[in-house]
Amino acid sequence: MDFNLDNWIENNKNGEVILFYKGNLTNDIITKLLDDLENNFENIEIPNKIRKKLYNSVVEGIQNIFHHSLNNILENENTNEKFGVIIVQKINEQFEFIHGNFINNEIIVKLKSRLDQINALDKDELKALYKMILNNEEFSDKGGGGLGMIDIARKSGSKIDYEFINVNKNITFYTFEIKI
Amino acid sequence: MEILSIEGAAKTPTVNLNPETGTIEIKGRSIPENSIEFYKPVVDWLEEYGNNPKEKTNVNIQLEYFNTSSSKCILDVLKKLESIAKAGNDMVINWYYEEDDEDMLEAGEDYQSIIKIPFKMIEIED
Repeated sequence: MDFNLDNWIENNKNGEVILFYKGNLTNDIITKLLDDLENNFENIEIPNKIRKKLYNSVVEGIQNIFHHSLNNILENENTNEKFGVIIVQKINEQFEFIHGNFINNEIIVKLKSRLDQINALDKDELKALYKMILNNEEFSDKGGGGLGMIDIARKSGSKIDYEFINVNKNITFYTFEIKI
Repeated sequence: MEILSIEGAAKTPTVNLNPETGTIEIKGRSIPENSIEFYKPVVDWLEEYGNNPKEKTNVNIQLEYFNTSSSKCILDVLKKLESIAKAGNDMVINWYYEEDDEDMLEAGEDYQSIIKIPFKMIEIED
């Protein structure tokens, strides 16, 4: 069956929504979204500690999309835009952060192995891996060595729930979810 | 050498680097998409300051949030400070974190263990 983005959103946006965005990401849009997120935190009950962890995770997640995502290939094939879907919501006293974006199939193997590696590590091992990458790897402005995902895993204390949903022979919709 | 002063913005911190007093301050949020560009003048300034530092350098790092894109740049800043300290100059690094913000405290501990200069961890009460 063909991938339907709106159905995916409908199936996943099922809590008390704190932030939702579907569209292209630019520096200015990211600033606006993070500002909205903080304003929306004012309207819900959220402990300070959790608020910080969630905010941090959303910063990393959105910037991951900004640096690595493709455009919305379902609608437009030839742009350099960075398209993503972002959902921050509260479900049963837990906070969920989900993001989805299109990627080239060729990066799945590497990405999956990094996600599985992170999920297999405990708190201390994540700390050691974070410090090792921080101190040893070359960084570009796109970050380095999956440090953003490691940071989210460390701060959330949650395993990353991910999915690769095939779109066509070249493209996959990649989804990333954590609970705090 | 001149003072380097950068006003804080939505995604970047306030920076005050003063060669006369030997005070280095970075405060606020550091969550830009492109951190290397933001931190380059800071790292360059410290490079020059290291040639003729004050007898004692006081460093205040008070971040509310920082992203992983900034984390490497902050390490670069700290490594510059480390080399100034290693050359025999006094250095005090104050790492501030908000009450209950264990993640920010831990981030300071991570840096401290990499650069091997003791930090003074200071909790800011609400």
